[in-house]
Amino acid sequence: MPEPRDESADPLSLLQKQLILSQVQILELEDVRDELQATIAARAKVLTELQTVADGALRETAAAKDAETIARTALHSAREDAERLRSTLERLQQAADVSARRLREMEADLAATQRAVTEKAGRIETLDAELKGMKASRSWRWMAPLRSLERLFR
Amino acid sequence: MTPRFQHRIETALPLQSNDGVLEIKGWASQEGANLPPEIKIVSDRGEISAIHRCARPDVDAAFGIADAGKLWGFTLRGKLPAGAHLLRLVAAEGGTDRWQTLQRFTAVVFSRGLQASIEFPVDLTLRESVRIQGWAAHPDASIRAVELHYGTRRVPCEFGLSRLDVPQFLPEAPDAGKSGFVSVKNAPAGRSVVRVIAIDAHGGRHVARTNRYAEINRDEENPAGLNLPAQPARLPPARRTSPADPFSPPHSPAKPLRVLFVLYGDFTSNSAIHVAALANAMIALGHACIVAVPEHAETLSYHRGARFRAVVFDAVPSDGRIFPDGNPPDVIHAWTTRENVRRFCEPLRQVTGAKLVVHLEDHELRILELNLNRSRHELLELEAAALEQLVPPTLSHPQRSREFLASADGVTVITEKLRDLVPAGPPIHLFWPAADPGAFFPRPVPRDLRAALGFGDDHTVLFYHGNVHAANRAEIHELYQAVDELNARGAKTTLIRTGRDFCPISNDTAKTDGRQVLFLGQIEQHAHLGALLALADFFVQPGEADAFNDYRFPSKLPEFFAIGRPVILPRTNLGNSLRHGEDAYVLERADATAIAAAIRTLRADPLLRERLGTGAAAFAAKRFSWQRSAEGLLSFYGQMTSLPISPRLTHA
Repeated sequence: MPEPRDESADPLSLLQKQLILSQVQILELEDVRDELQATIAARAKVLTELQTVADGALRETAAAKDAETIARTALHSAREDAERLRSTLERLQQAADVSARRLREMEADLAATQRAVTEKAGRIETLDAELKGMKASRSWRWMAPLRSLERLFR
Repeated sequence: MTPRFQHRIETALPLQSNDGVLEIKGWASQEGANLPPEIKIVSDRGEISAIHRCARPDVDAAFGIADAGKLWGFTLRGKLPAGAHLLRLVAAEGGTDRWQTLQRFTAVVFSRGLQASIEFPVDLTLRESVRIQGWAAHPDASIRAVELHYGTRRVPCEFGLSRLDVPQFLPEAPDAGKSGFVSVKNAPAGRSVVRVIAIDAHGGRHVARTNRYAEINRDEENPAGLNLPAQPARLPPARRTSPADPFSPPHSPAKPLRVLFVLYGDFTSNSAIHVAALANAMIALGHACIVAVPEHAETLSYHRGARFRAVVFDAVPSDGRIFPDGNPPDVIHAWTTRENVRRFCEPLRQVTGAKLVVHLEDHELRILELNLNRSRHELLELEAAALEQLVPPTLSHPQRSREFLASADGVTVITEKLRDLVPAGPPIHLFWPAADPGAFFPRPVPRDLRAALGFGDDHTVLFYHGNVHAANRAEIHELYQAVDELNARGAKTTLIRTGRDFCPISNDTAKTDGRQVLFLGQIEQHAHLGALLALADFFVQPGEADAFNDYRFPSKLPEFFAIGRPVILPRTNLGNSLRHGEDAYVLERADATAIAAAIRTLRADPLLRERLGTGAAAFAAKRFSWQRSAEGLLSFYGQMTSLPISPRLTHA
């Protein structure tokens, strides 16, 4: 690239050139200043946004911790309730077992009683049949007047 | 039982402090308690517990507190070191030490920076050349050295003098106790606000502006006194502030286009100014634009605020998918038929199927003749291989350029005459270049700077910003000779030039003594030229109607007109569209003699000068607009892209 050539070595011309170029440099520095101001403003904005995000995250963390505490408390309470229910259930289970056992016993007793009743009924039936037979017998019929006289004198 | 607190911080968050002091206001109460809780702010780098309390009847009402008047409100105020902090607002029941965290939040504390004061002389305006005394301390840094700056003056100071008072109000500053300074010599003549510059132990520089203004006209070296101006002479601002983007799009385009501009040189060329302006305008209108250059994409910095992306040829992949949406261009706009442009565009067009538009802005063959110093007949008689060797990539090949034009889907031209060079076939669209309205607009002459440069009212200043190359060196030489002639006849005239010289303007190196030409070289930012152009009284475009000028549109002309000064130019290209004596001063032939005569005429006729200045600005406002040129070009693209792809092309 060809270097700019001064058409004149006159000190005044060189000074004029330097003055103009220094003015151009001021324009360039003003551009840089404007860019820096814009950059600073943009970064300040980002910083503010970051802080807002951080504060929001802190609030969410605090809220999450509170929620965790509440949840832990609720969990503890629920566990206690569950323990109580478990104990109650265990007790009821034991009672149920006892009742079941008692029921089985009663059922056994009932069965035995039923068997006895059945046996007794059978015996009654037998006796009844014998009685009917006896009452149907001629000797019973013939002795009826004597039983009447006996009842009369009793 | 754990106490339960209610609170609210009422200071707006996020919290930032520019001076190290944090203040937080709010209120806090405790359930079932009649007394406000203890409150403080805690961080890992300190506590803020200094508190001011106040009644909050609104809190009383909100919580139905019967015993009103309790001091629920608080203001906590204190200092924290510079940096980012994680703070906790904590509360404790009165009389206990069981602190609970109420809220966590961040705070950013910016350093106050250098603190300094000048104490002697006591007057706010320093008029005497005396020793200047004061103090300087930085809250976060240890200072090694101090200087005073005003105007161009740099005055070193002796630093480290004892100061018992500064630690009282700047206890955090490492050097507070030894922060005194005194200048090593009497303040020299100068004029400006006085600033204290401190260099810290790590070489960092810190600046503090003082309330002192130096207006010292006399010192030991200038006992007679200097006449220092109240305000330094300045160029006007480079750009004007405009409330609205000049390219505000009215709406999103129905069919956004992807346009790839292809330049033959880097972004410092005049062609790049046109392409940059068009690309910016098209992007503002909702289209996508990329500009490809052979090399030096970093020269895009010449166009500060460019909205488009720059790529070098080698960085474009063979499938042309360089747009953000992953697609290739819809339109390839080849800027001239130069060989490097043609070789890049043709294969890309084949692969992508994009519409090819070729732009003509010069008589390329004439430029080839001038650069190779051979006539077109001589060139066309050469063997193909020899011609191939002779034509550099940055010029147009006489035959291939014509084939390239003929194969295009469209051609754009910058002057009517260029239509003659387009083979039959492709449609042609004419658009004129324009000037950046933010930098080139009617500007008054900066008289104070002109005076500082020694250019009195009887001194004519011309300005020409343009490169010199083989095609225009003769014309520029005419301009130089016009300047010589005017000065020789006692009409003080200076030509200020910028740009690059690709060849010597004249071989007559002897005639440079006394020549009133200030050559500033290339100005890094094109937008700064507007402020420089304001220095001129007139603008001159030398030349005449010929095979070179008839086919071009000098890119500086819209900028000349936009500044609102009389423009002297020949009756060719734009000159054919101007009214002499109204829009411009049009010469049949703008050679040295005619230019000098025109300048003498204008110097003698202030009414003509005013009319031509006004006429130039009006013509620019009416006829030069990058937005209109871009809209016209987009419409031209639109006509092409709505047509089916040329059957000559095959897709990849």
